[in-house]
Amino acid sequence: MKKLTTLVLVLALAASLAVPAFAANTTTLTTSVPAATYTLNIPADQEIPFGKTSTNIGSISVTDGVGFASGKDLKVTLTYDAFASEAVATTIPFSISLAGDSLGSVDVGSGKSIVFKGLSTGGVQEFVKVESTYSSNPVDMVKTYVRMSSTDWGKALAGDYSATITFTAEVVSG
Amino acid sequence: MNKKTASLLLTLLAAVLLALPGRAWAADTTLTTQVPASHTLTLTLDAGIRVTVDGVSYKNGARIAIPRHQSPTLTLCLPAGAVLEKADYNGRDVTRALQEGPYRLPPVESDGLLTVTLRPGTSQPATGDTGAALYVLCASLAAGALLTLGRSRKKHL
Repeated sequence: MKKLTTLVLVLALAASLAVPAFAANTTTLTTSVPAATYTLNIPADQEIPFGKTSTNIGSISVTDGVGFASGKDLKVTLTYDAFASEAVATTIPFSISLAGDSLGSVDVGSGKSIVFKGLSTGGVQEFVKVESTYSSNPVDMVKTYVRMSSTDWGKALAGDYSATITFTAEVVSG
Repeated sequence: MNKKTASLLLTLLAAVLLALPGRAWAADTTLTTQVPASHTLTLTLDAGIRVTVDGVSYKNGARIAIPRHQSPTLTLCLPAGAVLEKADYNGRDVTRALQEGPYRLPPVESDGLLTVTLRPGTSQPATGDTGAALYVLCASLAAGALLTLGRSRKKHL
């Protein structure tokens, strides 16, 4: 009986030692990248004075940016059509340009995008920055101008006109 | 729905969500503007000068409403003995045009300012209504000019 017990124990031990050789040990790593959050500030609804060829309507800026990174930017696309009226057939075309405090301007045609660069701190640029030959540092584009030609003003028939600028924002990885 | 079907559907949903581009958000700014139905023509005239606009006589400081895109006809009436020095409409010299008789403005697209000055020392100081007869004459001339203009237009139609 003793012999039999020993044999059983030896077999049990052998079996227990053989188990680790067949077991598949895996390590699962998981991570979660939170969505970038931000506040896009756009110019308020407003009236353009009759005949003005250049009107500063305010700034386009981004605040409270979190979850950005260098190379992870916010792209804002502007789309707009000419001023139109329900009562008369004429339209008044316009264009949009961004400008710094003391510099020229950058045109942003309808369907074109501006990019607010993500920062290594996790934030994002407040204003679009443009390189300038007049300044050692990139210049913040803090103003948004609506430009209309005097010829187009002149041709317009009397009436009330309106136009809509749509700002579409999207986090992109460049 | 068995477990296999549910699992397959969940996998497909995940694949579709992954294939979608990043979420984009949009917001609008509405701009409005108003193009007026009429514009104001302001007259800045030296003493004694009157200007008739479409047959109506006006003096210095008058503000006249002109329908947008219309071309009013101006006629200058100077006091007796006065010599015109300069007439300026919105920065454009119209001295000669006004000296030659009724002058038709280009279609009005904005507010305008007509400034007329006399050569110094050529105008008589205004004393009462002595110039009334002259103004009546000017108005008659302007009315006649408008009538002729109207007739010639009809002929061309």
